[in-house]
Amino acid sequence: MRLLAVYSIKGGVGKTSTAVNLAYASARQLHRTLLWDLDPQGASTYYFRVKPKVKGGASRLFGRRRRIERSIKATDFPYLDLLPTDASNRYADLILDTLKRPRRGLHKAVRELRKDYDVVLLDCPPSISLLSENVIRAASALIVPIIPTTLSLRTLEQLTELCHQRTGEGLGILPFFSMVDRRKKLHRELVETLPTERPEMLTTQIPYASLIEQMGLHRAPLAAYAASSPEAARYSELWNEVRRRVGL
Amino acid sequence: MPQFVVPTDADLNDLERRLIDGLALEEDHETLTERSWTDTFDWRLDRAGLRLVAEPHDGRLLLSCTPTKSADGAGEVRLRLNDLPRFAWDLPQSELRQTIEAAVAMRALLPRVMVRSTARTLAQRDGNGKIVVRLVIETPSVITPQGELPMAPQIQVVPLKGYGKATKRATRFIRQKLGLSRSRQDEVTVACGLLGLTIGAYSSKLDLAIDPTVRADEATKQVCRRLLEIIEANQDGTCQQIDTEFLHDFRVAIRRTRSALARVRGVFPSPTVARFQRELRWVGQVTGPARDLDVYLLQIDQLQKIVPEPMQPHLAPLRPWLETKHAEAYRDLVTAVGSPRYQKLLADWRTFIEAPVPKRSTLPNAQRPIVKVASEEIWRAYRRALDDGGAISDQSPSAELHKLRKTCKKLRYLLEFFRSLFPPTAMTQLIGALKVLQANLGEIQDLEVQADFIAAMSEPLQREESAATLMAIGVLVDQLRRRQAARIAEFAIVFAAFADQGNRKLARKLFKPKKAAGRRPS
Repeated sequence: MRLLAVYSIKGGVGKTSTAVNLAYASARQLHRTLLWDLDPQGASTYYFRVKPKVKGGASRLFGRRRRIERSIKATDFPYLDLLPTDASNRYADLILDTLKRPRRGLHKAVRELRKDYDVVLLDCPPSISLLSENVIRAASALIVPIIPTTLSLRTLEQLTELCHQRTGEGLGILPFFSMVDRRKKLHRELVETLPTERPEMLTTQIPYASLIEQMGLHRAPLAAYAASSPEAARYSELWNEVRRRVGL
Repeated sequence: MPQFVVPTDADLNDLERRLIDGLALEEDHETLTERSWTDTFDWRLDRAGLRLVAEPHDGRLLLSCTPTKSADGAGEVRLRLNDLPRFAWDLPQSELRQTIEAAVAMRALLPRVMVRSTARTLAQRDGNGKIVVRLVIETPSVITPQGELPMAPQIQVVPLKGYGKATKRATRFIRQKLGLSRSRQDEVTVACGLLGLTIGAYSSKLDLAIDPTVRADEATKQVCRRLLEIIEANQDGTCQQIDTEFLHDFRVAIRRTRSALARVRGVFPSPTVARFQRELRWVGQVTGPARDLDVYLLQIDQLQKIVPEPMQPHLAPLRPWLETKHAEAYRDLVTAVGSPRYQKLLADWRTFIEAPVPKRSTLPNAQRPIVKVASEEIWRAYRRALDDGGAISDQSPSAELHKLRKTCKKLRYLLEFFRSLFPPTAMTQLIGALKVLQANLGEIQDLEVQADFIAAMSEPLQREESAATLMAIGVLVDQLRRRQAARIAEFAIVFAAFADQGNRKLARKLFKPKKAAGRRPS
């Protein structure tokens, strides 16, 4: 089982779209996939039309008396399940803090999913918190969407430093350009220059496109309503690149 | 997954309408699929509790393997590939390959049953538009060489994780409102039934249940009839070279038949026995080279690894040379099996073993109960194995070991023919002990034959191949002979275990005739 986290310190960079579409692409390749919505805003949960409800609240996900299995819901797509979120996820840090080893709570929780899934994708909230430390420690790779702007680059550097502090060189950071608008000069320049400075960057770029924004209207992964669109193809390419990098 | 059968006289359209109205279902999608249930000729996957299905998926082939007892698809492993290879070892490294490889071994994967099906999928959604349960109405038909045979339509309730209540509601509705009952058999079993195929029907094991009081000539014919079934079942697969086990099972059945004729004495007229023995020996001879070469080709990779690594590439010419010889041997085999001589042998043999036994016979053992005759023959073979083995020392030539191997084979065949006549636990113990001895003797003999065969290859290869190849062959032969010596050194311990007091006592108790030695034929 591979645990992959779509994570960024910064909000509004396309994390949820990435998590939803990568999970869909993974399931299309017959990997038994679970998308775990860790963000209390519940956008992934909304996209899959699942009720935002965790049976027994977040303590049943991270606490000592875990019952993760009970909250998992099948999506409308084969091989793809969702672990939804609800408002109780706001207290994830508090619950984790009650554990004997607060930074290993997520790792322990995910271990229970090993036999049922080939891929577990985490859709993480944009923050630096105890939960994000758990993510960094548990995941085998962080998939990091970055908008080609200076602020995004700064947060990537912050994240890299944080990861190295916490895990040494062990964790794979897989940044990629998200919401690329080629009409903007800055976007074009950064897309050209950054990969030479950051060779670990994935080469697939996800464009800024209204078709992707329509996921909220369709409440489905992009490829489910626009299978032949270039944007859907990009997500599929992105998944293949991630898959190769993590040896899946 | 709850599955309901639609009776053949039911109006499917009416049922669908009631289902859609009653459960507020929407159309989801309709597909035409062709599933091919795959197993080996001798049902190894079924015996291992696995079900392997191949079906088209996104322009490729989807292989899925599920435990037979899994009700909800738990434990399923999948693999996508372009074509189904004939052997498990040709599958890409994957969980699926790991799951099936040991069970399948060297047998070919064959499509056993093909089902074509139109599946109309209906979905029930909740207030958010989320699908909470799917229902699939399938109209399947089994594909036969003559065309399609329709199967009873089925309604499947496909549960979705986390939506158990919706599944229960749909299942209850179908049972109570539509009056349908759950399927007792799965699709594969139903399809096999239509094809007249019994899952697990073929086995190279004898599995005979002989009445101990039946006449010895009749019981021997029963054994021979079962062996003929195995011979005929493997004939086509042998000629088509589907996999090497067809020829193996074919030859073992021929050898067992010869053994039945030779070992159960005084039940059939001597001229008849002599004639069939001669002809069956001929079948054994004409199929022998193909089997030997099958074995060499199966073992070629292991053989190459015996020599030091730098020498291994020099053995590369062995494979094409063996493949040429293999093709020639199979050509001869196919000619022999297609010849009038073989056809006549089989026809005459069938006539003989299917003919009723004469009411009265002058042959000494023909009318005696089989349990007595079998006991005497097994006891005789057992004693001979003990004598032959006991006479072997460190200085004995390997021919002596080969002689013992043949004696043990005859004993084994007798034990297997008449297994059902004696207590099962005791027979398992004796056969188990014999198997260990046979494994040791078999390895000694195989290593000798391999070494001789490969040494003999140097001569024809001398003209074409380099000195390095000939040297590598020399090293390989030397290594094989060393291995043989090591196995010979183990023989004394293995034989002692076979001949220990416990086994002897058991054999004596089961088989030693009680003051009936005078009636035995000489």
